[in-house]
Order: sequence, then C-alpha cells, then structure tokens
Amino acid sequence: MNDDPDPILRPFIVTGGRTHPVDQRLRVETLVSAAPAALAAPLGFERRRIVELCRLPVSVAEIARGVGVPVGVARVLVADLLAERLVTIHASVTDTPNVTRELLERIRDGVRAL
Amino acid sequence: MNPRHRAAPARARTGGTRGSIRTRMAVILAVPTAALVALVLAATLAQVRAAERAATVADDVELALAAQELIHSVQRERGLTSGFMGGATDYRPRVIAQRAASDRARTALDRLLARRDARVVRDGLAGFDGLGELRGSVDAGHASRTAVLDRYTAAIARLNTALRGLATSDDPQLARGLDALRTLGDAKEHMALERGHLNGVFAVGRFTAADYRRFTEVRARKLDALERFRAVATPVRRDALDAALRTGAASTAAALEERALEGAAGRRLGVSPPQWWAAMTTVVDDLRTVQLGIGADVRHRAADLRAAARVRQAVYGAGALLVLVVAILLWLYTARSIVRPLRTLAAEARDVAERTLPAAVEAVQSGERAGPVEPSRLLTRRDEFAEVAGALDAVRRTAVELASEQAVLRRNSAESLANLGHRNQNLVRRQLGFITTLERDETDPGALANLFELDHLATRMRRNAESLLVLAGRHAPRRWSGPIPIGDVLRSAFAEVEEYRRVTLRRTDDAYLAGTAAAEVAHLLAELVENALTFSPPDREVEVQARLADGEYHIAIVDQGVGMDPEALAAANERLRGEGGHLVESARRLGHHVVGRLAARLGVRVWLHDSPLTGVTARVVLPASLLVEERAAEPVPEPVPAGAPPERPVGPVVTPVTTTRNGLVKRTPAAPRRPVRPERAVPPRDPAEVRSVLETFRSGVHRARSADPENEETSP
Repeated sequence: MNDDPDPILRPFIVTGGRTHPVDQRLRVETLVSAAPAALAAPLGFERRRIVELCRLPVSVAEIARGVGVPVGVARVLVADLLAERLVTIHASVTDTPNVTRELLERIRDGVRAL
Repeated sequence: MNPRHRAAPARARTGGTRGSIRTRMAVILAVPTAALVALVLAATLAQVRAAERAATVADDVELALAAQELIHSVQRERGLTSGFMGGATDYRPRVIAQRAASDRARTALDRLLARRDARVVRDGLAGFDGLGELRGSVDAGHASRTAVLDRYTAAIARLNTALRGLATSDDPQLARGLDALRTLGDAKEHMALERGHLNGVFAVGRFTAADYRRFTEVRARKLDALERFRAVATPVRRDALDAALRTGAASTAAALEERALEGAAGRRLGVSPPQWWAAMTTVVDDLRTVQLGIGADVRHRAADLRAAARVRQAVYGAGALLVLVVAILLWLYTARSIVRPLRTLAAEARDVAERTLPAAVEAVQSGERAGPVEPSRLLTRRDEFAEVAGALDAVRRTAVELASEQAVLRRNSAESLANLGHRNQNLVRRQLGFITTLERDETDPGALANLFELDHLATRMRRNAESLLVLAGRHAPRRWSGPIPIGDVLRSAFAEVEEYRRVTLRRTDDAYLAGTAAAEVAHLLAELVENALTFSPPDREVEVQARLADGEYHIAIVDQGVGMDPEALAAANERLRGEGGHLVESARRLGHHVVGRLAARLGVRVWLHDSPLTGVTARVVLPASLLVEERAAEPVPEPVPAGAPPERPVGPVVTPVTTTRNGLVKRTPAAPRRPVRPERAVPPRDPAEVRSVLETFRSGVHRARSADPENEETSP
C-alpha cells in the first residue's frame, strides 16, 4: 500500500460532473488574473484557490497544477469565475491581429536564447 | 443466541409448574392416608363404644348389687316373719327392726334408680309395693303363714327375674361374672327361703306333708343353684363359697337340716328355731359376702375393660396422628427429592443457554478453542435424573459443537469476504489511478465527461469493496499522512453515491481531519447520504450541513422523504450503534451495519431522528480526537515567477473565508449565469510586457509538465 494514495477528491465532484466550460475562449495557455473584488468575494474550495492564485496573471495550465485538478476541470472552474466577472483573461498572443513580423522575430530570438 | 428468544417463555413455564409436582404427589399420598386414618378412627370409635358399654355394665352391676341388698334384707324379714307367724313371738322386735332395714335398702335402691333409670329394675320392684299391706295383715294376725311367705317370695322372685334383664357383656369374663352373680342370687334366695320356711316349721315343731314337700323342693332348688354357681364362678369365688359352706354355722345348719329331712313322717322335730335361724343366717350372710366379692370382681373387670378401651382409644388416635404425620413427612421428602434435582437440571440448562454457549461461541470467534462442557452435577446419582442429566449434557455438547462449527464457518466466510474485498479494492484502486492519469491530460470536454462517468462508477465500486472489508472487520487501506480538509472529505463522500447531483452542501465550517481517518469518515458519510437519497423522492435534494462546536464536528444530513415510524427509527439507531449482527439482518440494511461498524471503530456518534417537517435527519458527531488543528505546512505554491514585475499590486486584503456556500458552482444560487461577453482585447502592449507574458506562460507550462510526479501530494 502506498503511503499516500490518490487524492481523496475525485475530479468530477469538483465541477459536479460538468466538463464543458461556459466560456469557449479559454485555452491551456490563456492568462487569467483575478478581479480586485474577487478576493473579498465569498468563494469556496477550488474557486477560492484559483482567485488566490490569480493575484498575478497565471495560465490555465498553471491553475490546474496549483489547484490539483485536471486542465479540463480548471477550465470549467475558470470559465465560471469569468462569467461571474471575478477573473479576467488576457488576450492571447495568437489572438491578437496586430502581430508584426518584427515581434515574431523577436520572439524567435528569445526562444532561441532559451 | 439472540437474547430476545431465550429465557422468557422458559421462565414462565417453570413458574407455572412450581407447585404441580408437589400437588400431584400430595394427591397420590392423600388417598391411602385418608383411608388409613378413617380405619383408625373407626377402630377408635369402636373402643369408645366398648368403654361406654363397660361403663353401662359397671353401673348395672351397681344397681344389681343394691337390688341384692334389698333382696337380702327382705329375705331376712321373710324368715323372721315366718318364725313369728309360726309362734315364736319373741321374734317380734327383730321383725320390726328388719322391716326398717328393708325400707332403708329400698330407699338406697330408689336413690340409685333416680341417678340411673333402668325400667326393668323398676318393673321388678312392683312386687315390693304391697309390702306395707302385707306387713299390716301379718301384724293383724289374720293371714296364713304360707300365703305371706309366698307373697314375699313372689316379690323377691320378680325382682330377681328382672335383674336378669340388665346389661350383659361381650367380654366372656365379665359375662361369667354376671352369670355367677345371678346364680348365686338364686342360691341365696333358695337358702333364705329354706331358712324362713324351716324357721316356721321348727317354730311349729313338726312338718305337715305340704310343708315337707315344699322344704324338699326349696332345698333341691338351692342345691341346683349352688351347683350351677360352681360351674360358672371363678375358682377364687368357688373356694370362697366352699369356705362359707364349711364354717361352724354351716355345719350346724347342715346338721339341723338333716334333722328336718328325717322329720318327713310328721314326728316332732325338736329343733330350736333361733339356733336354726342363727346358723342359717350366718351362712346366708356369708353367701352375701361372696356375692359382694363377685360384684367387686365384675366392677373391677368392667373398670379394667373401660380403662383398656380408653388406652386403645388413645393408642389408635395417636396412631392416626402418626400416620398423618408420617404421610406428610414422606410427601415432603419425596417432593423434595424430585423437585430439587429438577431445579438443578433447569438451572444447568439455563446456565448453558445463557452463559456456556455464548461463551463458547465467543471463544471460537476470537480464535480460541471452546472449553470442554463441564458435566452435570446430577450424573453421580444413580436414578432417572442422572439419565436426564446425561441426555441434557449430550444436548449441551452438541450445541456447543454446533455453535463452534458455526462460529468457525462464520470466521472463515468473513475471511473469504475480506480477502475478496481486498483484491477488489486493490483492482479498483489501480483502475482509479489509471483514470486519474487519463483525466489529467484530457482536454476534450466530451471525452472528459466519459472519463468522469467511468471515474464515478469506479468510485462507487471502491466503496462497495470497502464496505465488504468493513463488514469483515478490516480497516480501509486508504490512509493519508497529512490532514485533510473536512470540505474535501464531505465532497469525496458525495462522490461515492450514485446521485451526487441531488446533494447540496449548505454550510461547512473549516476544519481538518486526521488523514488516517479521512477515508473511513467519508465512507460513513457516503452510506448515510446514500440512505437519505434512497428514502427521499427523486426530485428532492438532500441537504448537508457541517458545523464545528465545542471542539467536535457536527454533520447533519437532512432528507425530505416520508420519514420512518418510531420502531423502524429505533431499530435503525440500534444498527447504527453497532448492535446486532449483519448476518442475521436483511441485506437491505447493510449500509446501517457498515455505518455502525465504522462509527464504533472511529468513536463517532451517529443517530437518526425526525426532521422538523418531514423526513429523517442523520446526525454525525466527529470527536475532537479525529480533528487536527492546522495543516502542518501550508502547501499553497506561490505561483509568482521570479522575474515578474510587481506592476499589479497584490491584493493585500485576503479575508479569512468561512465557506458558507456550496462548493459546487452549479448549486450556487447567487451565481448568475449570463452569456459570456468576450471583452475587447487590451490595447497593444509594449515588448517588455509581451515578453513578461510569454515568460510566465513558458514557466507555467514547464512547471506543469516537469513537476508532475513529485508534487502530487501537495495538491488537495
């Protein structure tokens, strides 16, 4: 027997079995940050942890890690918070139409430099 | 061995028959005893009658002797009168004196008769009533001597005859005494008659032919009576008579009588009447003495008989009493000798039912061998009780063996169940691990929904497997080393029931549960929630509230079903307290037994009661020993990257949250679901900002991929 088995909480109970986020825009890399009012809002369990994590912009994938749920679950939860205007998302790079060639080159350079 | 099935009817039966054996034995003994006592009483009554008869005889003898006294006196009077009338005028004063003596004797007899009336004697006395007139005619001198003598004689004879009608006796000795008394009375009468007759004849000086004939007749009667007396009298009294007839007076009288016998031809006799009278009177008085002696004999004999009868009466009475006492003692002894061993038998049988058998079963269940059945104490006897005790011992032995076999069987089957449950649980655990891995990387909502369905099924399978382990007396293998938030425990409990979407978590106070107990508490709650869901309508929700109070954690699971009647509620609470065995109950109640076992093991109090309006509320109280103060280490990873510019101020106000809402988004009524309106993108950023964003993304992805395995336990 393992010392510590799987987490006690099964992921499906976190969303009540829902897998479809109410907001389709969320992707793994979407950055999320909490609205200032959110920290004072009465939230429970994972939702509170998400808001706490999002004091700085954090990606959905990071949120999933931080809260300890699958990405699919994190997306549903963040989408709920987004609908309640407790978090905001930042426009993704790929979404922005005015990505200049210059910017892309700088990204390329930056990636190379990693 | 259910306590409800034993003892009560058996006790009632014992109480009902307690006196029955005694009663029956009393009946058996009563019949012969009563017969015996009746017999003895009859014998006693016979003795009472015998004593009465003896007393009657004694009284009659008294009467007879008094009458004889009278006769004796009148005989003298007759003799003297006869002499007086024959010409011996000097007899006159003696005649007068003798008349007075006769009257005294008569008075004495009358007194006796006044005390004890005897008609025969009274009738016999009729002849004496004309005595005064007779005496008058004698004094007047105009009566013939013979006629006077005859009247005296008739009166005496009548009384003598009457005396024969007095009581006789069955006792031969007494009868002979009475007979002797009468015969001697006859002899004395005839001797007195002879004396009186010859007194007159001697006074005249010679016999007439008639006088002589009369003399010989009287003498013959006298001799005959004396002969008869000798035949019936006792030797002592016979000798007394003989002695009375051998005295000097008797010889003189006999000699004078000889002279009289020779005077048959009518020649002169030349006998002095006073000499004859004196001699004859002495003889008659002697006879009277003998008569009194016989009277005394008879009286003694009667008294003896009466005393003997009294003694026998007393003996028989005592005998009856003794028989009764012995019968009662016998009854007591026999009843005791039967009832006592019976009680011992009953006590031993009850001891087996209430102590030995349960102890043996308990011993076998805890893995020991059952102790040997101690043999009954009654086996040392050599009677039917020993046989019954032996049979009972055989029953006891068989019962203990059977119970032991049953217990072994139960233990073995419990072990098999535990083994299967263990394997099952292991497989499901691996299955869940695999599902977890799949869920983690799944981004397609449809596929994730399928995985969730699988996850839910597997979770419920795991609960079933763990129920099996609990019923088999094993611990759940899932334990965590760190504390677990109660909110998570509650929600994991909901995850284990089928219709978890109908469960609403109304309020939870924050607290942490010891990781070692978390799985079992979740299991316990899951069983109660499942029960609440089963017994409430499908459109109603089950509400759960959780509150921390006085160091204990209270959880209420409220359903809105039809509720339970008080008996079912009591039975359910009994099961929840861990009482009763799940093997004897209906399989539908298994959930309660699982809860009861878990609650007993964890020290958790669980009970059901009526909800305020409708349905049933299950209350669970987790003791302080299961709660943990605070997390050992705050595992919230700060996701702030190193190079992040602090341009966004970190919200300083992090108010301590007491979660008052349902953790599930769907259930939060305050959360308005509005169509999401995509916000306009922020205006173009400067390169530094973009780089920072990319950096964050990169580091996030990197961490998410690489930190996967080792950080698992830090996530709640």
